[in-house]
Amino acid sequence: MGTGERFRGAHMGGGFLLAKRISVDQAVAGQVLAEQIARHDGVLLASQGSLVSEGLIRTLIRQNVDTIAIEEEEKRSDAEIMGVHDREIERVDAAFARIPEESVLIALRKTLVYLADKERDKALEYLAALEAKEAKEAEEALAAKEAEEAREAADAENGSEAEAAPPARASRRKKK
Amino acid sequence: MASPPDIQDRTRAKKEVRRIKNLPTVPGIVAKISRIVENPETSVADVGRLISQDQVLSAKVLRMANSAFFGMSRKISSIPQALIILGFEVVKGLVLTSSVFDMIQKSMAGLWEHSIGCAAASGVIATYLGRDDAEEVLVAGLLHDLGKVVLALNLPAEMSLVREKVAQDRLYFHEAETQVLDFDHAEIGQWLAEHWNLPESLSEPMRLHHRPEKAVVKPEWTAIVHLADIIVRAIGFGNGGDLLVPEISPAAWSLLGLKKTDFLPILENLEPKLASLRDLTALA
Ligand SMILES: [Fe+2]
Ligand SMILES: [Fe+2]
Repeated sequence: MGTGERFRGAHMGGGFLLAKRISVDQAVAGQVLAEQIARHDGVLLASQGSLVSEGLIRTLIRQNVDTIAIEEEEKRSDAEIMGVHDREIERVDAAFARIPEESVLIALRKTLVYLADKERDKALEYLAALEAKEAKEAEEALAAKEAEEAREAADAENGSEAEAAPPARASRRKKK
Repeated sequence: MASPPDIQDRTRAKKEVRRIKNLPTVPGIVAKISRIVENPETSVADVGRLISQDQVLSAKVLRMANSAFFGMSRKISSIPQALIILGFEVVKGLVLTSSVFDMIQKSMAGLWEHSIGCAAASGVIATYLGRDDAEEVLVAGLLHDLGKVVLALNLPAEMSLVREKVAQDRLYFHEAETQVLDFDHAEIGQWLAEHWNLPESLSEPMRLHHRPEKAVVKPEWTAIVHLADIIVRAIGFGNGGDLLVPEISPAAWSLLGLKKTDFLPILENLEPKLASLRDLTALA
């Protein structure tokens, strides 16, 4: 479901991509559209994320479209990028100052830091490991609960046919 | 509808809020819409015509309808079309938001961005969960902090005290509000929503987005807005009065049935929307 490489970290430090509105006569082939372009009657001329071409520019002029939004990477030196990156990590740290270590939001925080570091792979790795660990813990908890229930049932029956009720399935609410 | 819980809280808040002299009246156009839809004879076209009479307002509504919020593949070029595509409640929410836009802008720097960021995040989460009411949840996100507007515009002295406390004691905005006023923007929001006759599906997230486990009317909407508020704060888009991320309500988290791994795709779906929503920061 993720949009993969489209994550652009506009607020995360690093390569800042901004949407910039320009007039059609400033458009150059190769620019990326930050917004779809529709004709005045609603007919779509180009979708968001597609490339500007000479042909598209001619169409836009013919259709009297005045301005378009393009993606523009802010020019920054390495030092500036590092500075922005450090500030972003500082900001995230400060923002999460009151979130306890055991909160699920720590995963959100780590995800943000990996993204600021442009380490999408590591984020995925971290999250996959986290998920596996949680699945295992849930399994163990379920097994422990079932064992407990079986023991209680056996106690209740008190020596007679100690037949435990079928273990309750873990009910995780499913996504709609 | 039965009275929601913690009625005592609300009575107290109402009493307090009477101190606020110039409560914003429901924007004239919204009042008119509410009035004409009470008439069973009213058609979508009538409502469309009424909104279209105010051209400035219509333009703002259409800009929001065509923004990255909704990600429509076709351009919505008229109010009647917006009513058909987005539905009446959503358009009414956009009209309301557009008509209080100046108020939001004037009240607190960064609050408008926080509001549209929360709206976009609400929409993204709802869509991610596969819900078919994402547009309506989005409107709930857009309006969630309206109580802050009333506070900023009507109780400026208290507001600066609140801000001082936030800065000094590293408090969440609503904690500082409670210390200073004994009620917070969520309660003001609820009161305002009643005053304006907003449906409970919208007033509940306004009242309970910091205590979503108490929601009974639309618990999922309130939980989504609660999480959306957390996510825009975590990303650092806009400013809701403090720059802290609030802890998530465990009940809301389990109600949504999300996993920790879902944060990544949600952030990735949200990011391009926030980038293009910069346009909406100058709606006027
Ligand atoms: Fe709030
Ligand atoms: Fe908020």
